[in-house]
Amino acid sequence: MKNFLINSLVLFFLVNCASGPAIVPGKGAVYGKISAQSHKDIIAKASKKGGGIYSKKGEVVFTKQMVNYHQLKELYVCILDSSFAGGKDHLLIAEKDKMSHRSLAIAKGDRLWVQNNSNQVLTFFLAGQEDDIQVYSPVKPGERSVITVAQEGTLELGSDENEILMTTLFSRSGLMGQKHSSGGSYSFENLDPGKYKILFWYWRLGFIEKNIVIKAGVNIELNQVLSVDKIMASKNDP
Amino acid sequence: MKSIFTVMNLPAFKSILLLYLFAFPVLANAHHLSGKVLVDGGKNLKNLIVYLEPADSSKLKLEPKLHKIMQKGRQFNPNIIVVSPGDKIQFLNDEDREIDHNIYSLSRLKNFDLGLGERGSILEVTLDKKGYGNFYCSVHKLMEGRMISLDTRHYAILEKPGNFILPNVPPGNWVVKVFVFHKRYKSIPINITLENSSHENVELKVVKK
Repeated sequence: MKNFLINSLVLFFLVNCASGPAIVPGKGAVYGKISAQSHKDIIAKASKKGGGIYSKKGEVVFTKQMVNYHQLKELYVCILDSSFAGGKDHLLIAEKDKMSHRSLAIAKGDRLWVQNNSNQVLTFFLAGQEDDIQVYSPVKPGERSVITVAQEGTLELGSDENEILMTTLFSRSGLMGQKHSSGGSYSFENLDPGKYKILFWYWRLGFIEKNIVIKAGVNIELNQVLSVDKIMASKNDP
Repeated sequence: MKSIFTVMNLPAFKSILLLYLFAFPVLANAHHLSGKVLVDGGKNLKNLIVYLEPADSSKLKLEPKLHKIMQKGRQFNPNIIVVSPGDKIQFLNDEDREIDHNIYSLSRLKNFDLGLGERGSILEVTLDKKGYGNFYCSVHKLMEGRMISLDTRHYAILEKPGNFILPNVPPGNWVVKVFVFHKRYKSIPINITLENSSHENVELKVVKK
C-alpha cells in the first residue's frame, strides 16, 4: 500500500510537473508561448540610450501613440491539419462604431456569423484578392447572418453601410486557431503523428510559418516572438 | 465643339484646369481627358484613383521616378502614393523632435523593412512590379500608408466621386480605369482613343462586385 502511494505520487508529479500538456499514448502535442516585441533596431537603441521613449533601464517606454507589443491581445497561433475540413462557428459582433474583433483566424469551410448590434441595417461582405467576394444577406439591428467561408488568404470583412466596421481575417484550409495575448501560452494536443504547419499571426505584421513533425508520445515545445524583423527574416528562410 | 467650361460649368473646375496648365508643361500634340466618376448607389467612396494605361503595354517606357514621403507628426504625408515599377520611394523623417520610426511593408507588392529611421534620416525602397499594398510604422499605431504601383504617369487622386481631369495625355489608345480601395467595389474600364482633340465628359462607373 505504501509503495502504491509513493508510485502514485511520483506519477502525479511526472504528469503534472513536466512541461507541456499531458502525454497521451499514441498521440503528440505542440505547445509554447507566443509574444510580440518591437523591431530589433528599436530594442538595440533602447539598450544604449535613455531619454525619449527609451528608459534608463534600457527598455522602450510605450506612449499612447505607440504600438505596445507587450500588450497586444490578438495574436493567433494556428495549426494546419489537412484532416480538418472546417465547419467551426465563429461570431463577430458589429456595434455602432466598432467590431468585436480587429482580426480573426479561420478555416476555409468555417461558418462566420455576424451579429448586428448597431442601429441600422448592415450588409456585410467578405473580400479577398481581386474580385473574390462573398456577400451576406442584409442584417437588421439585433439580428445575425452567416456565410460559409469559401476563400483563403488575408481577407477583409466589411459592410456596405459603415466603413469603420472592419475585421481582417486570416483563412487557410484545415486551420485551427487560438487567440492569445502577448506572452500567452498555447497548446494543440491529441495530435496524430505526422507533419503539420504552425502559423503565428498578427494582422498588422503578417505571419511566421513553422513545419513540425509530431511523434507518438512526444510533446514539442515551440515558442515564437513576432516582430517586423523576425517576420521579414522568416520570409527569407529557404 | 463645346468648351469644357461650358459643358461642366464649374468655376472650381476652371481653377483646377488652369492650375494643371501652369503646373505641367504642355506637350506637343498632347490633350487632356476629363469626365466624372459615378459610383453605384451614389456611395461616397473615399480616395479613388483615376488612371490611364496604354492599350498596348509593350509600348510603355517609363523613366524611373523618385517619390518622397514625409513623417512629421507621426503620419505619412502623403499617405497614398501612386508609383510605377522601377520607381523609388524615399521616407524622410522630418519630425521636429527626436522621434524614431521603422517603416515596413509585408504586402504582395513588396516586402521591406527599412530599419531604424531616426530624425533627419532618409530611407528608401524601390518598387519593382505592379500592384498595391500598405506600409506601416512598427513604432506608431496610426502610421499607415498605401502604395499603388501602376503602368502610368497619367492619374488623378479623387477624395470622393466626382470630376477629374488628366492633362497632357499623348495621342494613342488608352484604357481608363479607377482604382478603388473599398473592396466591395470595382470599376468598369473604358477604352479611349485620343487623336487630334481632347476627350471630355467621360463617365467612369464604379460598381459593386
